[in-house]
Amino acid sequence: MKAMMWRDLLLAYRRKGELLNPLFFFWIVVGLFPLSIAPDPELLRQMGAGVLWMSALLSTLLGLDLLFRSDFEDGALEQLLISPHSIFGWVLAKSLVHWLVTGLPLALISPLLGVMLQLPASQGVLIMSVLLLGTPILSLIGTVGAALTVGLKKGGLILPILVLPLYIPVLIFGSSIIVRQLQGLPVAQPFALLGAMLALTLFVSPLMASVALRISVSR
Amino acid sequence: MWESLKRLYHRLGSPKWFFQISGRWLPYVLVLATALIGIGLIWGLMFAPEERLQGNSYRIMYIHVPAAIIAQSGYLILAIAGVVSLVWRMKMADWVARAVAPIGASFCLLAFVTGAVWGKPTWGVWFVLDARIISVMVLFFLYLGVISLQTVIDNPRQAANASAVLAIVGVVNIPIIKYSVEWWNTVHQPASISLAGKLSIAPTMFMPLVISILGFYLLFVGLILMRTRNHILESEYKTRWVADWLSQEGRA
Amino acid sequence: MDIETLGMHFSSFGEFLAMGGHAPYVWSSYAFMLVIVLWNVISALGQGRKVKQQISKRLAMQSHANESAMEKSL
Repeated sequence: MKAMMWRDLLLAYRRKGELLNPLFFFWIVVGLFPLSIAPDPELLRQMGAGVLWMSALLSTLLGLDLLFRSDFEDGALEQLLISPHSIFGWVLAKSLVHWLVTGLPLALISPLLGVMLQLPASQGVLIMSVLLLGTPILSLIGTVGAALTVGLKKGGLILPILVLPLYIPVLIFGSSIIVRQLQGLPVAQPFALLGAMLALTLFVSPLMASVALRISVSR
Repeated sequence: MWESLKRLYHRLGSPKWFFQISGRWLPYVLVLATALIGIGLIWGLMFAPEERLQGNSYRIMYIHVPAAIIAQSGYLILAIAGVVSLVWRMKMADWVARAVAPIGASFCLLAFVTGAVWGKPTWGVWFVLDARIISVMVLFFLYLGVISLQTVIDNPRQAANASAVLAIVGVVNIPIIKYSVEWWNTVHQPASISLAGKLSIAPTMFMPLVISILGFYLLFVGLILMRTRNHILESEYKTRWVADWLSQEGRA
Repeated sequence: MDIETLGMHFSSFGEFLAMGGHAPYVWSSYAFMLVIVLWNVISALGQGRKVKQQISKRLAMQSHANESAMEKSL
C-alpha cells in the first residue's frame, strides 16, 4: 500500500502540469472573484471566506474523475478486487494521494490568496489550518463519487452533481470559522464539528467507495 | 407474527405476486387518493378560516406540507430499497427505487416552489433563505444525483446498485446537512423565521391538512405502484405469466 | 340556500378567487401542483404504454427468428 502511494505520488510528480492544475485553477477562480464584484475592500473582506471555500470545492472536483481511471483501464483495479484482501486501505491511500496533490497545496497558498481578498494577514494561520482540516473531507467524499462513476463515459459530467450537495456542511463550517474569527467570535464549535466530520468520513468514505468500486467494476 | 412478516417479505420479493396484488389494489388507491385530495383541498381553500397573521396565503400549506412529506419519505424509501437491494439482492427493491426517484424529485420541486412563493406575501421576498427551504433544495439536488446515476449507467443491475450506494450515502448525510444549514441560519439570522412554525393552527385548519396529506400520500403510493409495474413488465417480459397477462390485457 | 350557512369562508365566488389579495401566490402554487401531479400521471402512463409496445415488438422479433430457424432446419 505504501508502495502504491509512492508510485502514485511519483506519477503525479512526473506530470507536473497536472499537479499544478488544481492549484492554478484555485488561484484563477479566487482571482476572478473581485473582478465580478467590485474593488471594494470591505465587501471583499466579507465575501473572502466564502470565495476561498467555493474555489476550493471546485478545485478538488478537477482531478476527481481521473482518480481510479487508469487503474480501471489497465485492469489493476479488477485484479485488486479479485484478491481476498480488503481494499479499504488502498482506497484510503488513493484519497490521501488526491488530497496531497490538490487539497494540501491549496491550503498552503490560501493565506496569500486571502490577502488578495483583503482578509487580514494575521488570519493567515487560521485560514490555512481550516483548509488543512476541511479539504481532506472533500477528497474523501469525492472518492466515493469517483468510485461510483469510474468506467462511465459521462462520469466526469455527473460527478459534480453527485458530490457537491455532500460538500455543503464543509462549506458552511469551513467558511464560518473564518468569518467568525474576523468578527471576534469564538470558533471552537465549528472547528470541533469539522474535526468530527473528518473523523467520520475517514472511516465511512473508504468503506462506501470500496462497495461502489465493486459495483462499478462488476461487468 | 415474525413468521407472517417473513412470509410477506418473501412474497414482496416475487414480482408476479406484487404485480397481481398491485393491479388489484391500484384502482382503489387512485380513486381514494383523488377523493381525499379533492375533499382536503376544497375544504382548505373554501371552508377553512383565514389565518390571523398571514391571511389567505397560508392556504398554500395544504399542498406545501404534503409535498414536503412525500419528498422526504421518498428519499428514505430510496435508501431503504438501496439497503434491501445491496444486502439481499432483491430485484423488486431496484424497481421500486427506480420508480420512486422521479416521483419524489417532482414533489420535492413542488415543495420548493410553493415554499418560495409562500415567502412573497408573508415577508415580501420571493425566496426566504430559511433553513427549511434550503434543505428542500438540497434534497432536490440529492434526488438529481440518484436519477442521473440511474439513467447514465446502462446495465440495470449496476445502475441500481450504484444509485443504492449513493442514496445510502445521501441519507447518512441528510441529518448532517440539515444540522449544518440550521446552524448557518441561526448564526446569520438570530431571529429565525420559519413558514409553518409560527402559524396559529386552529382545528378547522388542521383537519383539511390531515386529509390532504393522506390524499397526496395515497397518490404517491399509487404512482409508485404504476411505475414499479412498468419496470417489472420491462424486465420480466420473457416469463410465462407476463405473456399470459399481456394476452388477457389484449383481449380486454 | 346562502353559501355562508354552509360554513364557507368566502361570501362570493369573486372573493374566493381574489383570496383576500393573495390570489397570485395561492393560485400559482395550486397551478404548479396541478402541473406536477399531471406530469406524474401522464409520464407513468406513457412509460407503461412504451414498455408494452417494446415487449410486443421484441416478442414479434423473437417469434420471427424462431420461424426462420425452423425453416432453415427443414
